[in-house]
Amino acid sequence: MAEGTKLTSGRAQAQVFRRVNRDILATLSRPGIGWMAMMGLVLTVLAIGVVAWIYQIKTGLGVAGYEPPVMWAVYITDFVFWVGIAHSGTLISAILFLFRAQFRTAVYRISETMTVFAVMTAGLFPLIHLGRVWYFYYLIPYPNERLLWPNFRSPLVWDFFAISTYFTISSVFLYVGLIPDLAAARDRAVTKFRRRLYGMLSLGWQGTDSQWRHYNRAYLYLAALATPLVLSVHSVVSWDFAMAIVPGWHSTIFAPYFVAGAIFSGVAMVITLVVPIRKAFHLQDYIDEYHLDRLAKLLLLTSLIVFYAYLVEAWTAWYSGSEFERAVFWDRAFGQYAWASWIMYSCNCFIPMALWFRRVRRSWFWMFIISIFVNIGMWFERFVIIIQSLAHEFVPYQWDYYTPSWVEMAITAASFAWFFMWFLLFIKFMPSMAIAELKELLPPKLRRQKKELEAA
Amino acid sequence: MERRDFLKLIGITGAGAATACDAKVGPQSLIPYVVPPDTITPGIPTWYASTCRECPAGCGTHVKTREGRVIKLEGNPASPVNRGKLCARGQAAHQNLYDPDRLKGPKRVTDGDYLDVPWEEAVSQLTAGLASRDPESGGVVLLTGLQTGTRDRLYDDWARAIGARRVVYEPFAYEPLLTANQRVFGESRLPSYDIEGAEFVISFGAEFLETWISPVRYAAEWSRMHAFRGDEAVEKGVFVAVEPRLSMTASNADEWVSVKPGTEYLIALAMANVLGAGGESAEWTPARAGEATGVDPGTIERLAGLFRKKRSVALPGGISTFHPRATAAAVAVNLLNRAGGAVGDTVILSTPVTGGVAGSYRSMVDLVTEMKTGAVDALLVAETNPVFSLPPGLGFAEALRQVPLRVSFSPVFDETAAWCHWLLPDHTPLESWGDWVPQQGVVSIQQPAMRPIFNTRSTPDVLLDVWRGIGGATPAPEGTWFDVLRAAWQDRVPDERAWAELLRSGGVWEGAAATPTAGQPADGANLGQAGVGAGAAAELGGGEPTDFAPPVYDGPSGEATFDLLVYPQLGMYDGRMANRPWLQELPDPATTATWQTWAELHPETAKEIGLTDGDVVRIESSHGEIEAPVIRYRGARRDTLSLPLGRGHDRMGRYAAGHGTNPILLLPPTADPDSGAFAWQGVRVKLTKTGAWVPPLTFQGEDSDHGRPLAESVPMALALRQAAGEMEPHHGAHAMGEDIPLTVERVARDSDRDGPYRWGMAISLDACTGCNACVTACNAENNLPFVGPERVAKSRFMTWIRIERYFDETPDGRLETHHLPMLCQHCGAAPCEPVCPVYATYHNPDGLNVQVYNRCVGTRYCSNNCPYKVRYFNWFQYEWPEPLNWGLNPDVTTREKGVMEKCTYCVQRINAAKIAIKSQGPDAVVPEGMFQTACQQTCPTDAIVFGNLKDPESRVAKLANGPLAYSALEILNTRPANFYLKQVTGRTGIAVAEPAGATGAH
Repeated sequence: MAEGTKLTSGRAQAQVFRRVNRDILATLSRPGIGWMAMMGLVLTVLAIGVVAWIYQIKTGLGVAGYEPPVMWAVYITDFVFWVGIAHSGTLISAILFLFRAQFRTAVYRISETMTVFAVMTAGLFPLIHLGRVWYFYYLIPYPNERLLWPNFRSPLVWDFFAISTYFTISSVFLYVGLIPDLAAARDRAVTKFRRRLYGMLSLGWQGTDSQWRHYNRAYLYLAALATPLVLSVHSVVSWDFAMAIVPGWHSTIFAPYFVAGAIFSGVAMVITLVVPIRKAFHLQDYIDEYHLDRLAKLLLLTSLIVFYAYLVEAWTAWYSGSEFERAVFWDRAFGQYAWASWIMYSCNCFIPMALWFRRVRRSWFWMFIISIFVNIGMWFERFVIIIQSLAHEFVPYQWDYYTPSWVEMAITAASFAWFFMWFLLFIKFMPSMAIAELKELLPPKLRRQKKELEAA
Repeated sequence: MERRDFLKLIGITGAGAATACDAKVGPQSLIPYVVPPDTITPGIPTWYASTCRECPAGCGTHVKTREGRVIKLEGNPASPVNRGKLCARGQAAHQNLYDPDRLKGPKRVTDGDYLDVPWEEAVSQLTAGLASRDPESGGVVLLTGLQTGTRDRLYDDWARAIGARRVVYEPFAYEPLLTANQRVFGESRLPSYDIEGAEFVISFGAEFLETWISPVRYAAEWSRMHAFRGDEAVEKGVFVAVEPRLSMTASNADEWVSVKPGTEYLIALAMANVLGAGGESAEWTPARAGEATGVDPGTIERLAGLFRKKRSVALPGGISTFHPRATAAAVAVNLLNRAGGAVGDTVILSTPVTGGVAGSYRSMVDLVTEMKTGAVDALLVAETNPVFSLPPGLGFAEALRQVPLRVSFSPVFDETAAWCHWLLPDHTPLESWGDWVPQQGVVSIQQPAMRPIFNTRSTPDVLLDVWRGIGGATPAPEGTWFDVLRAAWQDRVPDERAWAELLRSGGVWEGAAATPTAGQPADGANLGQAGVGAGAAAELGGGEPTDFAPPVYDGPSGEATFDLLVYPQLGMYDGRMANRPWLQELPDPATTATWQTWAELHPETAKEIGLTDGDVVRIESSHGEIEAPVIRYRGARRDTLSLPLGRGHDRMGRYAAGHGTNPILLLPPTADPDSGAFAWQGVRVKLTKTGAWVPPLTFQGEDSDHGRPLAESVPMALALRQAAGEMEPHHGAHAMGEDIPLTVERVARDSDRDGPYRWGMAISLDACTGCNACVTACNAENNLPFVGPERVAKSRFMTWIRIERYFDETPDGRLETHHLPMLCQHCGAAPCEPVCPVYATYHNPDGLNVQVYNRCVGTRYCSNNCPYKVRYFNWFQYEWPEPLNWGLNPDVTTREKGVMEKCTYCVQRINAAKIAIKSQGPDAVVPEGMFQTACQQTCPTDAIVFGNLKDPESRVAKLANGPLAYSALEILNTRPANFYLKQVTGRTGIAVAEPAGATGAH
C-alpha cells in the first residue's frame, strides 16, 4: 500500500520500515527455551487427548460421560466454542477492513490465524462426537453406487457445508494477506530451507506496482466474500439447536445471539493471545493501549448484545406460555445446573461491565483477566445451552444430570493443545503481523520515531 | 511365454487355488444337516407347547425355537391359567436355560475341589452311598420345591420305595391361607378367586398383579373387571387395596388404604363386623379397627357398604402379611368373604389352585432339628434353595453340614449347592419333560423345547437309576422319566396320535372354568398342598377361637426406627430369578430401581433423617444388620421401611452374586404359630447413616409429570357419559395452531397414500398395571441387551418400551398413580427424521418410523429431538456371554456400538405377516389379528392393542376413535401413531371434582 503514502524524506522512512521488518520478522528467529517448553507441554497434552480418543473409538462412546437424555455434551460444547473463537478473526480482518477501522492492522493477522486454527479445532469435534466415526464420510455428499445422499434437511449437513466453506475462505484470506509479508521473510531468510519455503509461498512477489494493485483488489474482494460468512457460519451452527424442538433451543433469536456470542468470545480470545505475544516478542511499539481500548470496546458491545439475548430468551420463554420453555429457563436459573448458568451470567454479563471504565480498557493486566473470564463464560454458555436444555426436556421420567468423564476432559484439554500447537508453529514460521499494512499506517510510536529521524 | 505354457500355468494355479480353498473351509462345517430333521426348516420357527416353571402358577407356554434353539416364550392362549399371556419372569425364562453360569455337568467335591465325574459314576456312587447307610442311624431326605403331577408322585413313590422321607419346601407357600381356609371353610386349599366376575375387589396385602399365587391369571381377570376403555358404556368394577406400602398392585387400586403394617386384616374384620359376621369379629368395630390401623372408621363403613352392595371378593394377603398373626389375618378375610356372601360365588373352593404348601416352613424347622441331631444321613435337594431363603437364625446351613451325604440337583451353583458334596445338575424346565397341575382339573404339559445344552440329566431319571440300584420296597418303574410320564398318561391318552395332539395343545384344559364343581383332583394330578402338608393342617382343626389382636412388631424403638416390611419383588420373586440379567435390570414398578436391594423410605422421613437417594444406611434389627441404599418413594409409609426380597445372593452366577443384600438376614426364625408359616414380617429396625453413597440404580428421573399432557385421566362418571355419546370427549391440549384434536384419520394419512397400512397402537392406561411384562417380552423379541448396574447408573438402559410411573396428588391429598407405557410413537411428523444427516431414520410406506442401523453414524441428534425420549444409543458393544447369545432372535440384528436404536413395532413380525399374506394374491391385506407385537402379545391385561389404523373396523382404530383416546404431548403436533386411552379414576364414591372446562356437554 505504499502507493498511497507520500514519499517524503525517503531515508527516514526506509530506516523506520527496516525496523518494522526487523521487529516483526524477529519472531521467526530460532525458538528459545520458553517456546520449546510450551511446545513440549502442548504436545504432551495433545498426546493424552489422542490416546483418550483412541480409547473412546475402541471401547465405545460410553467412556464419555453421556447420560441420556443428555446425548450431546462437552464435545458439542467444545465444537461451538471453537467455532465461536473462529469468528472474530474474519470480523477483524474482513469486516473491519471494509469499514476502514485502522486499529485492526496490529491484531488482524493474529486473529486471522486464530480463526483458521480454531476452525481446524472445531472441525474435529463433530468427528470425535460421532458414535461410529469410521463412517464419518456418510455425511459427505459423494456419488456412490447405493445412490445415498445426505439428508439436506438436517442442520448437521448444513453445518458440514458451513464449516468447510468457512475454513476454505478464511484460509485463502489468511494466505493472500500473508503474501507480501512472506516475500519480506524470504528476502531476509538466512537458511536455504526458509528461503525456499518462503520463496515458494510468496508466489514470486516482487512488490511491483501492478502486483500491489492486483493484490489490493483481490484482498478487497476476498474481504467482501468473507464478510457474509461471519454471519452465516455461526447462524448455521446455531440452527443445529434452533431447528430442533428442544425447549431452550427452539428459538428464533439463536442466530444473531450466537453470532454476537461468537464475536464476543473471539475478541476475548484475540486479547488473550495478543497480550502475551506482545510481551514475548517485544511488540509493544506495534500494539498499544489504543488497540487494546478498541478491542475492549468491541468486547463491551458484544457483551451487551449477549446480555440482551439472555434477557430476551428468558422473556420469550415466559411470554410464549409454553410450560416446557418456562420450565427449562426456570431450571436453568435455579435448577441443578444453576451453578453453570451463574458462571455464564457472571463471566459474560457482569464482569465485562468493568469495561465501561477507560482505565480497565487500557490495562493490559485487567484486560487479560477479563478476556480469560469471557472465554470461560462463553464455554459455559454453550455448556448450559446444550446440556441443561437436554437434561430438562418434555418427559420428566427422563430428566437427568450429566457430568463429564475424564475422556471428555482430556479431549477438551487436547483441543486447546492442538490449537496452541498450530499457533506456536505459526508464530515461528509466519510473520504474525501484517508488515506491509503496518508500514502503511505506522503505529504512533514509530510515527514519532520517523518524525524524529526526519528532524535529525 | 508360449500359449500352451500359459494355459498350463493357468490350469495348474486354478486347480491349486480351488483345492486349497476347498481344503481350508470345508463345506462340511457350513451345512449341519445331511438329513435335516423334518421338524426344522431353517428360517421358520418351530413352536412347542409347554409350561412355564418360573413360579408355581403354571402358565401354559408356547416356546418359539429357531434352528433348534429356544428364542422366545409366549403364553399358550388355550391355557385357562394365563390365556396366552406371560409375566416378565416368564418372558425371561430362557435366560435360565442359557444361563452362562449353569453347571455344565455332574461334579463332586473332593478336598474342597469340584471334580467333573461322568454321570454313570456319579449315579453309581450315589446309589452306593444311599444303599450303604445304616437304616437305624438316620434317614434319607428328599427335599424338593413345590411339585405337582407326575413328577410329584414319582418323588413320593421314590421316597416310599427306598425308605426315604420327602420334604416339600417352597419359600412362598401360603400356609396361613391354607390354615385359615381349613378353619373357616374346612378345606386346606387355595380357592380360585373370581376377580373377573366381581364388581368390587378388595385386597388385604395381596399383590395379585405381581407375585401373589397366579399373577398373570389374576391380572387378566382384574383388567376384565376393572379396565374401562371407552368402547362400551358399562360401568366397570372397583378395586381397593389395603396395605401399608403402595405396591404395584395397590398403585392400580381406585383407592389405596394405607394401614400400619400387620393390621390390614383388622379392616377386613371390621368390615365383616359391619356386614354382620358377628362371632369372633364382633368386638372389632370400625372405630376400634380404625384406631388400631390408623384408618378413618367412615372409610371402613363405606368399604363395607360397597362390599355389601356389589358382587365382591376380598383377597387375603401374601408374603407382606405373613407376620406372627398371619393365620388370623387370613381368617379375617375369609370371614369377610363369608359375611359378604362371596364364598361359593367369587371365592370358588371347588377349583383350588396350586401354590400353597401346608407346613412348608414347619417341616424345614423339623428338618433342621433332625439334621442337627444327626438323624439325617443324606439330603437330596432339588428345585429349592433353602440356604438363601431361610432365615439364618434357623441354622439350616450349619445343620446341613452335619449331614454326611449332601446332594444338589440344582442346575445352577446356588447357595445350597455350595454346601453339597454332589452336584448333579438337572435340566432346566425348557429341557425337561413333565406335567403341571395349575388348578384342579387342569393339567399343563411340559415338554422340552430343545436338547439339553450341557451334560445335565433330569432329576427323575437320576432318582429312577438310584431306585433301580437300591431295589427298594417296590420295584422302580420301567424306562426313563419320559416313559414314566407317558405311562402316567396312558389311561387318558392311550394312542400316540392323541399324545401328539396333547403335546400340541399343551395340556388338558376342559376341567377348568367349564366344570367348577369337579370333584377329586384329576388322575395323576396332585395339587401339592394335599401331599405332605395335609396332616399338618388337619391337626389344627377348625373350632379354636382365633386371636385377632394385632401382631407386635418387635425390635428397637425410638428415633429412626421403623416397622420393617419385606416384600417379594416383581422380577426377583423369591430369589430364584436372580441370575437372569433381564430381570435384574427390570425396573421395579414402584421405584424403577434395578440390580440392587434398596431401602424404601417416605421422602419426608428421609428428609427428617437427612437422607437422599443412594445414601447407604445400616439397617439393624435385633437379629441382624444389613446395609442398603435409600430410595425415596412416595408410596411408602412414614413409619415403615420396606425392603424387596430376592437379591443378595453370594452364589448362583455373575448376575446374581454381589448385587444387593438379602433382607432375610434381619429376620428371626419366627413362625406364625397357627400355620407354622415363616413370619416374613414382624420386626422393627433401626436405621443409621453410614455416610457412604452409591448411585441409585433407578430409571426414573421425576416422580411427577408436572402436569404435562403425558398420562391423563378422567373421572368414571364423565367417561361413562362420553362413552354413551351423551357428551363430547374433552381434549386437553390441541396441537399448536390446530383447532381440532388429532384424529385417527389424520394420523392414518401419514403413510403411503395408496398403501393399505398405517400401523398404530391404542394403549389403555386404565388397563396397564405397570407389570413390565411387555418390557421383558420386547427384550426377548428384539435382542435388547442388558447393560449392567454401572450403566444403569448413567441412565443408559436400553428398554425400547418402558413404564413411566407418575404420581399425582388429588385435591384431597391422595396419591394417584399413573403407569404410562412409553415407546416409539412412530410419529407422522417425527422430529427425529429431518435432523438425521444421513437418513438413518426415515418414514417407511407403512407409516413406520424406521431406524437403519447400518446407515447410522451416531450423531444422536434424533434422540435430542425426540420429545418422548424413546431412542436408545449403543454406548458400548454389549455382550451376550455364551450361551446367552443362543437366545437371540435371528430375525432381528444385534446392534453395533455407536448406533441408535428404538422400538420398531416388531417390524420383523409385520414383514413376516406381509410375506405370508402375499400367497393370497398381490392385493391381499394383512387382516386384523394375524400377528401381534411382542408387547401386545404378552400384556396380561390387554392394555396394548396394535393394528392397522387405516382399517376403520380394526380394534385399534375403534379404540383410538373412542372418547378416551388422546395423544401424548399432542401440543407438539408430532401426530403419534400411539393413542393412549385415559385412565379412569374416581370410582370409590369419593367426590372427584370434574376438571374445569370438561363439563360442557354438547
